[in-house]
Amino acid sequence: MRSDAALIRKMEQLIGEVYTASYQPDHWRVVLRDVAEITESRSSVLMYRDNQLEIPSSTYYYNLKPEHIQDYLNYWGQYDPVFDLAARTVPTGIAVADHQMTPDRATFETICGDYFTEFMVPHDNYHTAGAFLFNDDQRSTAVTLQRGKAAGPWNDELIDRLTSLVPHFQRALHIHREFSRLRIREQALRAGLNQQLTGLILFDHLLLPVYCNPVAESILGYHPAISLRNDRLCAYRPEDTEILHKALLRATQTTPDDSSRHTALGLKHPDSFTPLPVMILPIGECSLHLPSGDGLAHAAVMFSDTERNQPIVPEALITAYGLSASEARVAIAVVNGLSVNEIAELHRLKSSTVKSQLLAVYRKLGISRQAELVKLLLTGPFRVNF
Amino acid sequence: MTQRQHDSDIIGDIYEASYRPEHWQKVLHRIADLTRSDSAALLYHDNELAAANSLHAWNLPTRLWEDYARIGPDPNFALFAESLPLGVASTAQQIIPDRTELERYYGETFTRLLVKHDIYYIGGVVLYNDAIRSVGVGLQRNQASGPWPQDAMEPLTQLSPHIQRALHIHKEFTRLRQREQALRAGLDKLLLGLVLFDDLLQPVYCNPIAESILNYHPAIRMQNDRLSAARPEDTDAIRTALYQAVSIGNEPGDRHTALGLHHPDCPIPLPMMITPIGEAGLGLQPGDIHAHAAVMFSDPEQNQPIVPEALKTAYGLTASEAQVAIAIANGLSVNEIAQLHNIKPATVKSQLLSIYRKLGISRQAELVKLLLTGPFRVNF
Repeated sequence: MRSDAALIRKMEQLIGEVYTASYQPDHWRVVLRDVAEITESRSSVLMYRDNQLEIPSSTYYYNLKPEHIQDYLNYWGQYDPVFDLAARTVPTGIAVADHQMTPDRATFETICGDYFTEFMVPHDNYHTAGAFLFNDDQRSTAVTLQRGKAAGPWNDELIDRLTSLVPHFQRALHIHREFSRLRIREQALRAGLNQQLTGLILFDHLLLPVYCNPVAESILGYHPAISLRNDRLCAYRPEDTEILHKALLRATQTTPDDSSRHTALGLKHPDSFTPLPVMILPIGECSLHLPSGDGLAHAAVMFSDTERNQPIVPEALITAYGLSASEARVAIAVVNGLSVNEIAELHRLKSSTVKSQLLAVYRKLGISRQAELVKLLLTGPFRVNF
Repeated sequence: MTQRQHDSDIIGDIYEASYRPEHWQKVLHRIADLTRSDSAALLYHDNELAAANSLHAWNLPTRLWEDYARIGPDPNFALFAESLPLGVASTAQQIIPDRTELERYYGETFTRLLVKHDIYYIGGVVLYNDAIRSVGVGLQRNQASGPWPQDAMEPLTQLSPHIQRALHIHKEFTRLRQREQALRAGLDKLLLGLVLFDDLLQPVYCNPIAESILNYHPAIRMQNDRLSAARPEDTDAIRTALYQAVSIGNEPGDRHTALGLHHPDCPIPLPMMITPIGEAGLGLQPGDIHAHAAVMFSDPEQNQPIVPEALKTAYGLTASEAQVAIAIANGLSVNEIAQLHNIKPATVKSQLLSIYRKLGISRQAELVKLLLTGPFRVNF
């Protein structure tokens, strides 16, 4: 009776560990160690198989040699008759040992064939058990247990312990997937923002920067009019710094009216002709707290160095609009502020040649003036940061 | 053993609530049953976000929460937090057995609240009480039910580590979702149409500009989650480019494609760029190996929304100068602007010169570049 209570406590602890693994994937190793212990197994594996590609990928394991796993992943996993037998005969969520799947050991060994003699025996995986957590046309996820020959088969009660853990494994993997989904989406969104050519920093409600795109980083790195020091934006002139801070505070205040909360300013520096333009604006208020959901505002600080050359992909102009290589070059130079004469000088061409190339560009793009060309290329998708 | 079996089901329910908060109600119901309480509540105060308070309850009237929200700091929570370690459940009676003394500790307002809602006995547990959050489970019995039997709180102590872990998982989710929303909001402000596709070529994000162009522009639209152009060969080219972008084996450099989508009604082909973005690591589930594709496009004929007030504050332009600058950025000539506003071209020209001086530039093309690459071209 006493040992029963101890076992139950152990099981409950193990259940908790399973959920820790749901958000800290490294913890699956701890879980597998405890699963092996509680089922009196030598080793354990959490494996995943893509059933469409028939590729197994053992994701976490306890007490197996890496070469054993490699052997399985590289070769035997694609011919695993135990897996196939279990997939056909055992319902998802129920743990079974090998001896429960066939009338006798001899049948089991016959079904396994080479897999038994060349893989299970050499690695002393004489006994095997497991449960499917998910099993459909697309994928199978399973927890498997192994024992050496000397240990003998499991008794049914030990196998039932694994069955009772299955719902928790399933739920934990579900939570795990939600986390992966969110993390992957976050990466995609970040990557999307990374390609933008306007400098962008996002500040949270505590005015800490939570995101800074590469263009912003680069401008902060070289431009004398703006910098980020100890997570705070600083301008060259103290009065500009003060305006920046006030604007950030205003942007993160949660009031329903957005329009009054954006601020535009030009940061001056004695070395720059054009003030560095900065826009501070409130963005999306989040409401994600347990039920009632109070708002959380973020502030976006956008800025750009308008004197900088714009990276426009010449090949894109060639494929998308049918420009020739030299026409693309002229178009990009015009966008970056060069005059026809300057372009001619730079490439040692006659001004009339550049002019006629420019006219060809106009014709191919369906426009008629330099200003239109600049607009077309700067608002288009070929101004991009690879 | 039956009792214990019950416990292990409820553990599952607790973790279910970690990502589905509406499930807390069921958990609280079960905790109330296990501890023989009349009602149960989960109190959650987010100390980092100050404002975020929340409550889940089973079998308590909503009016109680309205009253509760008004009383300020909860003296009962303070009593438990001061007297017991985190995770150890108890009843108020066990901490201060004398009723008069207990009511004195609670103070008049709180005692009146309890009387009003027929709550006589309070039990519970403090799960967290730190800089990040203060969280507890409260259990209640009315006077007629009498005090709890000995050890009634034991099951709650047993479950506490699980509730703590579930709340921790919840907090992690919240952090990620908040960050995601901030990034989305950032992308929403961009004026380049952007659609992100996942490795299965399902669209996972579409910014407002992309949505609007897909709606009105004849050269491109989205049908059943697939991008279609007016000409079948363009549609094919888009598909091929998307496949290329999400094929992990290829070199990233070979995986971007530029297209011009034609339509008989449009003099300028709609420019589109398809590029691969961010690959994530692998996990346990299908689709955990991820590449995404970004499809960027714009309508070159669309007017650009540039904020005139911003040009005034940032560069010191006058209102009419700002108007002229924005018109130039949108492709109008000096004569067209003069005609539009019924003024002489010479006036527009002199405004333009004043703009050049204030911006430190000397030509129209430079003005267009300055405004279109600057941060004042923004989507509110």
